[in-house]
Amino acid sequence: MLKYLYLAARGTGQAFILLWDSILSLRELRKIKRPFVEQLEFFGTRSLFLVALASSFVGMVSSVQTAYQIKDYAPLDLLGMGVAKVVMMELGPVITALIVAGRVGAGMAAELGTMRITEQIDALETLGIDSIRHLILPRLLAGIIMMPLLVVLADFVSIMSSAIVSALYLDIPFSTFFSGIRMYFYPIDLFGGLLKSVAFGFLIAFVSSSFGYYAKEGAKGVGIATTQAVMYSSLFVLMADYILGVILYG
Amino acid sequence: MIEVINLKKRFGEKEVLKGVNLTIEDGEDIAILGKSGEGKSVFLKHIIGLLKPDEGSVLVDGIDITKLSKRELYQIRRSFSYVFQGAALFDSLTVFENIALPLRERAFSEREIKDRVKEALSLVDLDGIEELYPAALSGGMKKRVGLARAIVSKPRYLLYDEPTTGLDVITAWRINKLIKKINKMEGTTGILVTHDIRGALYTSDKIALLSDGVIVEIIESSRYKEAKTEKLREFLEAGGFLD
Repeated sequence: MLKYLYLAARGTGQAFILLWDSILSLRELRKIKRPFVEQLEFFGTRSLFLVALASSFVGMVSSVQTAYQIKDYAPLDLLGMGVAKVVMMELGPVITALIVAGRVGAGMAAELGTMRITEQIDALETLGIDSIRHLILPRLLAGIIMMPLLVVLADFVSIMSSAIVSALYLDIPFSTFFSGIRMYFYPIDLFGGLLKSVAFGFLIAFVSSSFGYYAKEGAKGVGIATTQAVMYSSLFVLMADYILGVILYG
Repeated sequence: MIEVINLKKRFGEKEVLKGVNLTIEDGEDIAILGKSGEGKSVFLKHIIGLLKPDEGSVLVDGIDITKLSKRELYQIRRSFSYVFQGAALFDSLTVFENIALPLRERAFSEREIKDRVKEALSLVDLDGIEELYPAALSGGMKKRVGLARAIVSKPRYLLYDEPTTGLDVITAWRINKLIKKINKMEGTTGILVTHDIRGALYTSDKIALLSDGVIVEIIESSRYKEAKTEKLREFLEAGGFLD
């Protein structure tokens, strides 16, 4: 038990040193142009299809289940409003974050872990290149920037797919669906969700980078780091979701 | 000049370095010999500040690098290059980009980077492979690209961590010849860590034996037959250099 507490404390300490060094290396931002662009592509562009596909199913199932729940005590005209709110405030940011934690978090941890065990991180250091500035900072910035954009996409695709299913199977015309959204739209619904997504993007990049950067003990260590990166990123996303939910909407 | 004073390092229960003392003059080439697991690589990593000692100092031109901040250490490291056992090339970069990386960090012009990379590749007999990725290279080619990356910034101190391990005899000998060529370049100080006694005697002015956590003997390569300690004599015998 004591051993696990010690390891947890050490891991947390290392992660915060990594974060502090990343913040300090912001003053050399101009030197990370290329790795930053690569990470924007890895985090964002390559996640587009998966996020869009998953979001379309989220939107479709949201229509069907919301209709099932409200049909006995509320007019189905309110379906658009219900789906849009749940997608913007909760499902869009959280489902996107969990997908990205699986895809990007695993990739980041595996890549950095492999670089650690093959001494590529040491090689950067011996060349006088700050490995945290070169490897971690671009990932953190890419996470913070790309996650809200992915969530905007996810919200859009979810609402559109929900509208299509509502029109095809629930006989709710597009005009009714979207007028419901317009009537009860509050900017905090959308911006609260986007604010959450900034925090989720940071958490996924930070947790995954940290596990990868400190990986050890060969291929087995990289495997462990990758698993832990996905597991803890997802867990921290859900914890942050609750805390931010209370702050924003509580 | 590099001075290592009473360097001690422990990993858990195992004390790897038990008080290493060594002085390396400018322009000198020294090979640190030792059996596997004796802490040769650990010692080398202390010289460039990749590891912090539990006790002792590493003075580079009179500056104790064990007490420097991260930023100050990066400045000192600009005088160094390190050749890794497994080459440690960056998988995601081409050969050109791998070699150009230290120059880009130091804000060289693109023209100068191109010229220097070409010159470095030519020195290791690997012209024309600039656009290949490390995955497309053989083990020997990777090591030579690692050497090219190490010399491209024209460092004062070159550290080699078992550069011939895992290579066939012909390729290993070719690497040794390259190391000798590089070490003879003006103003270069070479520190080679190896268990290849033949390569050590060929490339370096001096050989030192690291055994049981301390340097047990240092001798000029040309006078290896005068080795005094039993441990170094045993090493030389095993390599076929003493009867």
